[in-house]
Amino acid sequence: MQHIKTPAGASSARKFLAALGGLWVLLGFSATTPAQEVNLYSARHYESDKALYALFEKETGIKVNVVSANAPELIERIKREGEATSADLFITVDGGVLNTAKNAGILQVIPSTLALQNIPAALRDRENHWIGITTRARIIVYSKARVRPEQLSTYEDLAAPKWKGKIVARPSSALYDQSLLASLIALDGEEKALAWVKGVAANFARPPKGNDRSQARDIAAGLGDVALMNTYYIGQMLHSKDPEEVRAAEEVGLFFPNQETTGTHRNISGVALTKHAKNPENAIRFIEFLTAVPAQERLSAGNYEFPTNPKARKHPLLESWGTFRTQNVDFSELSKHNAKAIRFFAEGGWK
Amino acid sequence: MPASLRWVSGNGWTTIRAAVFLCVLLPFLALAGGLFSPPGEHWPYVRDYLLRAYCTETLLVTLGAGAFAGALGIGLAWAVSMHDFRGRRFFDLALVLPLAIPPYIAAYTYEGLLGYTGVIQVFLRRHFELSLARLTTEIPAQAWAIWVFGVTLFPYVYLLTRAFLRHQSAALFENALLLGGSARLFWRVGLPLLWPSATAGVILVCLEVLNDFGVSSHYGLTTFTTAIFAAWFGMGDADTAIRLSLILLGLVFFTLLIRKALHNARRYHVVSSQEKWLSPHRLRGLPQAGVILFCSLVCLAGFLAPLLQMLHWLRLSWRGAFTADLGSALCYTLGVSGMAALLVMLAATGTANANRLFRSRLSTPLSQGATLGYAIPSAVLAIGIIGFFTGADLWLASRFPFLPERFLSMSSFLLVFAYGIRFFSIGYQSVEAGFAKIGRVYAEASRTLGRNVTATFFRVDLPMIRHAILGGSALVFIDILKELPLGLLLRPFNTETLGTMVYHFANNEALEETALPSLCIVLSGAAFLLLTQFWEKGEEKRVSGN
Repeated sequence: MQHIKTPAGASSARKFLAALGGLWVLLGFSATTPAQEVNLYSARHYESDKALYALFEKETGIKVNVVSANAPELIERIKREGEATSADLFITVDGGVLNTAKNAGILQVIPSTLALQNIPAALRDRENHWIGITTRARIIVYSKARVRPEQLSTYEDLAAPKWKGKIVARPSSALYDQSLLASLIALDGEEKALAWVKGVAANFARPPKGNDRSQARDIAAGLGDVALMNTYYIGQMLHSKDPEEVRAAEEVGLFFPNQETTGTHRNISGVALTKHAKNPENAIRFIEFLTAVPAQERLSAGNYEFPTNPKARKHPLLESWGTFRTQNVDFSELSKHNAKAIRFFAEGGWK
Repeated sequence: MPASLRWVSGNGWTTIRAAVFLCVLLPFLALAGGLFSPPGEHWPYVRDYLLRAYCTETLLVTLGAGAFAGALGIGLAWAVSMHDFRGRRFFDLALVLPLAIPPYIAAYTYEGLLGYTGVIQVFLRRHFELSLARLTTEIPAQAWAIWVFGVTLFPYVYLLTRAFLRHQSAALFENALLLGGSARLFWRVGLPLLWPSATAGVILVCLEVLNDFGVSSHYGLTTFTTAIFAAWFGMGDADTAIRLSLILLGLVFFTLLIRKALHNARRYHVVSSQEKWLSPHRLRGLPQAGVILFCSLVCLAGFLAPLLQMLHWLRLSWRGAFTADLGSALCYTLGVSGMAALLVMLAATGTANANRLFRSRLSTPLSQGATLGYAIPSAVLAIGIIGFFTGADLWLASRFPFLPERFLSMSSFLLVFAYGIRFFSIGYQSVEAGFAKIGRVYAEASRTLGRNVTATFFRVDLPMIRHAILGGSALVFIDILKELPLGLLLRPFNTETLGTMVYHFANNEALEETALPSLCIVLSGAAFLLLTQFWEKGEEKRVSGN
């Protein structure tokens, strides 16, 4: 029998295309998942969270699937996916962002009395669209060598001329400072908040730069005397695998500001149930798991955050800081004033 | 013609071209709406207070990085191609390696290396009581960014310039070389001749910088990309973000126009099927030492220093770093990058061949349009793609109920597709250059002898441009390994790319933990780069042996 002769190149091209198609199908079907599952869109990327997911899987047999990205991108993604969304739960840092998600209409009421009992009302949404899982405070850190804690008092005081050339800060693109400023807008009013930005910017020892931990390093290096920093970064630095980081962290002291006035700024991580969740029962079990004492204690121990369940014990380091008064600002205020905060930073010269 | 071939031959080629163009068009459609919608709530404020700052900062960093990378690339290509010195063959390879280091990882390692708790400052403090903290702070963030971009991206210029010097220049330079010294030759003859290939490289660098997010956000720069993220995700004002994207797009168009103009202004073409090799000028004494020092310093800055810093971090953090997560991230990243690189090269080869053979009024706009994926900010591209494929999934589900739920948008297809759009331009340019080199003569001869277009392509053209395709696929592959924002936004459940792993660690401010995934990116990129360099060497031996 005579073969029809085809050009050798063309047949290899066909084989190639077939292989390509096979690969695509393989990648496509790898997306299929077992029946018992819960899907998280998470903006928290801590190692301690991963350990918790594994524990939940072990306890319940429910597989935890995670997509992680920055919170606003996840919100935009859930919005665009609409009813087809695969997200059951949305987990993020920052009360303002949680509230933005709520206002975007992508969340629903969490129908779990157990979870609501676990967490005090102040640490969840008024309509229970989200529940807090950890909190952190944004505090003042100072050089133990050059500043006495008596010299410090409030956030507002950082705008005073006595701190000229002494403040180091990170760029205002950081949500942490945006939320702090939003809380000051809520407490002190717009005019004073803008003046505060201008005052602090006038006191900078150098242009804003780096992240929270680099502010502590720069204080240790003697470039500035005071900075704003989240509490858990201090915990991380003090327990770092890099001995030089530990040494730098030991150079700075912690000060919880505004104790006599409006309280220290506190922010929150929270979990929310999406409006179009496909696995609501599993999602609720996960929320109840996260807010119960064992998971809460693991969260605090793993990432040096404050648990939201009052029955959970704090990490010893956090215990050693004692109790402190926190701002009485509804977390929804943070998202309400966020855009204004970004504008004030730009106008006030805090890059 | 056999029936099985009909679907890719003849108009099949132009169909590929049109399909590629349509794919790239999709995310643009998501943007196009913004042109006609009313300006966002924050737009007047952004326009009045911030736009000028965005423009100046973006231009400063882009042009600064372009110029720095250009100077390094041209200088090194000249030094290595025109001269013979001790270690030349080593440097010839080593100077390509910085391309394996993603700029944002280089930025992290420089912070780790030169920062207050870094090895250098600690050493100086301990032994000499010297503090460099003030000094490193005095250097503005823009300069750091330009430095990082320059030392990691210059190989784009170096590779293109070196290729020109190797393949086209022997006849042009040798006579001139007889007439005078090397330095005068460089300024009088070399630079004007190198200009087009060097600017093509510089423009690649500029496009990378315009699209960067990792470095700008690390140094807190207000460039267009960070501004788009801030407007869209910070202020929640998508319309303002889209307006900013359009301005960025304008900048990119402008850059591409410059390239076109420069390309058209080229008044000479060296067309020769015979490649003649330049015999390099032997250096001795002080000039030799100078060239070796220059090459070593650049290798140190662009590759060795970041690598050593990663190894230092690995020493601190290796316990518990070798996890199953890392293994799967490595496999996933290599798989997806390979797959996307393959797709890009298929699309690029199809489009370039269609363009070469089937010229029409549409061909230039179609192929030029398809290369614009490189210009869309990744975040905007990702959001556009998600919107489109979610819709496509709903339609598929209604037609083919047996498909798994969310067949397209929850699989890696989304990511592969996005990478394809983003990096099509890189692959296309390589293939186009390959075709330009062989011209149409051989293809026409084969056609005259009775082979159809497709058979001609596989039997005649493909073997001749093989090496352009291999080189292009390497560049695409490495670019995908280094890509960050698309991976962050589009990877499916339970998957991490190496890049997203690095980013999460850095975002948690635990830089020492970035060591292992960073090393995986860098080492696999470097291995791939070296492989292509050896292929190219083999090819050259074959050509010069003839």
